[in-house]
Amino acid sequence: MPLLQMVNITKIFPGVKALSNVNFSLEKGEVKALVGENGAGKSTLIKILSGIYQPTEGEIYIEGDQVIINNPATAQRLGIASVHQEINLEPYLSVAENIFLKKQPKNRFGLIDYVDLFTDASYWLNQLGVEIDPRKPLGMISIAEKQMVAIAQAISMDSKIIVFDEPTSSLTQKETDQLFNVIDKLKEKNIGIIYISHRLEEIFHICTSLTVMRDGEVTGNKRIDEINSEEIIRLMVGREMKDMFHRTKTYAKEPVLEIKGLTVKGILNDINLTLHKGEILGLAGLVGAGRTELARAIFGDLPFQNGEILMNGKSIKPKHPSDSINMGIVLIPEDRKELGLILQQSVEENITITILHTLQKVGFINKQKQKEKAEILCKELAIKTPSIQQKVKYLSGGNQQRVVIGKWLATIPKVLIIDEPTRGIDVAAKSEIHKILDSLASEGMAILMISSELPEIISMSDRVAIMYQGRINSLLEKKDLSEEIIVTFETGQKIEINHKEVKNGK
Amino acid sequence: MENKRHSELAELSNTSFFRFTKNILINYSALIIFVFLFVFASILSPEFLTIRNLLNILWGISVLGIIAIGQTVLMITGNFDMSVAYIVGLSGITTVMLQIHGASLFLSVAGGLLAGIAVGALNGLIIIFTNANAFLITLGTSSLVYSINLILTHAKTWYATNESFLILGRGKFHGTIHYSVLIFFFMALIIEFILRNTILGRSLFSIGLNIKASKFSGIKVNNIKFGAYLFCGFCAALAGLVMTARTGSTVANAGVGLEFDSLIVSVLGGTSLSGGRGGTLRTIVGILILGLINNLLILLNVQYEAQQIAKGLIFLIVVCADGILDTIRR
Repeated sequence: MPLLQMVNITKIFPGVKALSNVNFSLEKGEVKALVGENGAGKSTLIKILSGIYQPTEGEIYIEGDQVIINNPATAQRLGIASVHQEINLEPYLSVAENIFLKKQPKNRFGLIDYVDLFTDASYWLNQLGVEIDPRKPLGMISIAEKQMVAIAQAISMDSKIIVFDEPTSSLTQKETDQLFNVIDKLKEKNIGIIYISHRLEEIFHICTSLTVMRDGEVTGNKRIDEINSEEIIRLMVGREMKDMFHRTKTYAKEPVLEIKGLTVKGILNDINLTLHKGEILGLAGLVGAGRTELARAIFGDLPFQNGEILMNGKSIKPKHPSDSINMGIVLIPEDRKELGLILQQSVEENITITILHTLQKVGFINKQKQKEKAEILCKELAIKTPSIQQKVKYLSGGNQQRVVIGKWLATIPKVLIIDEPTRGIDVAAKSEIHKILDSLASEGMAILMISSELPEIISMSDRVAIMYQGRINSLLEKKDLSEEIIVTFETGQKIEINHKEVKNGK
Repeated sequence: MENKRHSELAELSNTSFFRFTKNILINYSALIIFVFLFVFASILSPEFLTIRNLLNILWGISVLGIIAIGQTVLMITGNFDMSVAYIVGLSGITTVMLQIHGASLFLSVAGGLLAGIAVGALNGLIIIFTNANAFLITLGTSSLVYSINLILTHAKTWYATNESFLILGRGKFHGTIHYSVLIFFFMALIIEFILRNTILGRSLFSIGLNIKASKFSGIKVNNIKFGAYLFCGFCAALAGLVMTARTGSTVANAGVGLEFDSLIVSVLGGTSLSGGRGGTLRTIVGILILGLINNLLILLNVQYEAQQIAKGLIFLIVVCADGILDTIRR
């Protein structure tokens, strides 16, 4: 009897089917990898398992008994624990107190029994074969050690299932090896492990089987010895491309923005990129690879230590977004609601906020001019709103995104950086946004487009730069693009295999 | 549970009648309360509706009013200044001391104003560079300023003797309305106009609503925040001069209590504690309400304790209402 069975799980969010008829099972002592692109549905599935979301349809069985997991506390009681990238522990408490955060041993006066606390903590840490002083405050130990504390917490509560979500993303090689030793020990204890990672070589090293997801569906269930990495990538990619956009024009060879050796300590490492007039340069990579940080550094929102930025051949040093805007570089952020818009203000106020200096005389805003300008922009971008006085919080996601694009286009920029241009908007609005970007490039604007959606990257970009752990891992021409190649580079795979592929493409 | 309540509220607020009524209630509630109170007071007390009494009310509120203008501007950006009360003392003390040491009228007034602006600058710098809580930081500087006041005055009362200076507090325009009242109204009008019609005004509101998006839109948020603190310090200092000129004397804690009063009247008028909403015309209404209530309680010979209870209740009601309105708006 399997330890965990999730049967026909479907999850519908307003307007989006995140999971459809997903079947997932896990045996005792199994280490199962769960892989898929960003947005494939992995985290939705895990959130259902941990009681954060409720499935729209489907059943969950643990050791053959049907269970309903309606909150995280229930998940914990059922023996489901997870070890995240951002670990939920208390930095000011000791290691031991953190291990027993959810059930402190008590003495007969109802106070915490510190003698038991420390001996029990040592016991569980020994079980994992790690040496951490249980009296140390948690804030003073490394990330790898914190993970061990989280694992000790999980096994001390008799967890049967432990979910690891990208556990090695900030570990050194040595720490990773130690983690794998611990996972082997958990395997021996008959604990079932779900291992989410983008790093395929790790999966081959530690996992016994894997489940691949794509667009909310399971595309493969395999034992690890009957599959290779090409096969995994093939199962991950291949999303529908039929309604995708086709670019109308190619770019000139005239460089507009050049980035040379840009380095932000611990985040970006020696970035070199050239953006040409009329080009859409796609910036691909996993979440956390440094794409948004690169955009912020160019925009003057993140100070950099080394390197230089050249605009039309002249070195520039943006210290504040206003500097970049004055030089014709704008950034359309991913987070519309937090960074792009002022939700409680009107369409008119939002769309003119960047160009007030052109609508003024000695500081006084010409209201008539402002109204006319807002109306022109709304028309150009086909923003659907009852009036320009409408507060933007009442607009749909697609229309909000047009307002954000509009407020930046109003400044007539030379370089447009756009972070996830179509995140969270419906399909029709997506292709409209793509049309806008295409016509802007045709008119000569240089566009740096960050996107996690591979079909978007492939159909819209003239070239694609792929980031991996703060570096540009590869720069591909349009003719060499395929989802397989991008995923290979995004996951930091060895380059040799892919040189061959790239050559074949030529 | 929470979500369900929100969605019901959202559904309800979709009907046009509800929206209309809601807008009236939210946007003009202070004015409605003022009119109601005015009529109520006229009926209740025969002395109320006399020119002399009404002018006295205005004279009474002008010091608080000038402070509240600065406070309102600062609140629109989502900030506060709790040190205004002791800036009132500091500016009066500085001016009187300078006069005693033989400084000219112009120099002494400039000195008083500069002292207030300097405290504003200190507040602004600390808050911008540490990103610490504005309320608590300014309470801290408030205590520092108070001790400076105590050291300067040796905890004694000091008297202003320059006749021309006293006009600022006691003088009347054509023998009818006090100059200080005119200064207050004039400033409120100018600031309201700036808030509604200039880039600076728009930036103040934007910062209060979403500081990150404002920065991303190219607004120099720190400069503007700093400017707002300077302005608030200036207003408090000016109010301190008016108060000193009115009473002819000053002490270390001359303005005590005015920090909370300036918050109350701003919020009472409809300026939001969480920033991004409000205006100085609204603050005039807020301050008139408070002035009216005070006046009425005095005319009706209500005991001082009861007056304080009334003030406390108003403060609580207003702050609660602001919190509730804020959730509805978001």
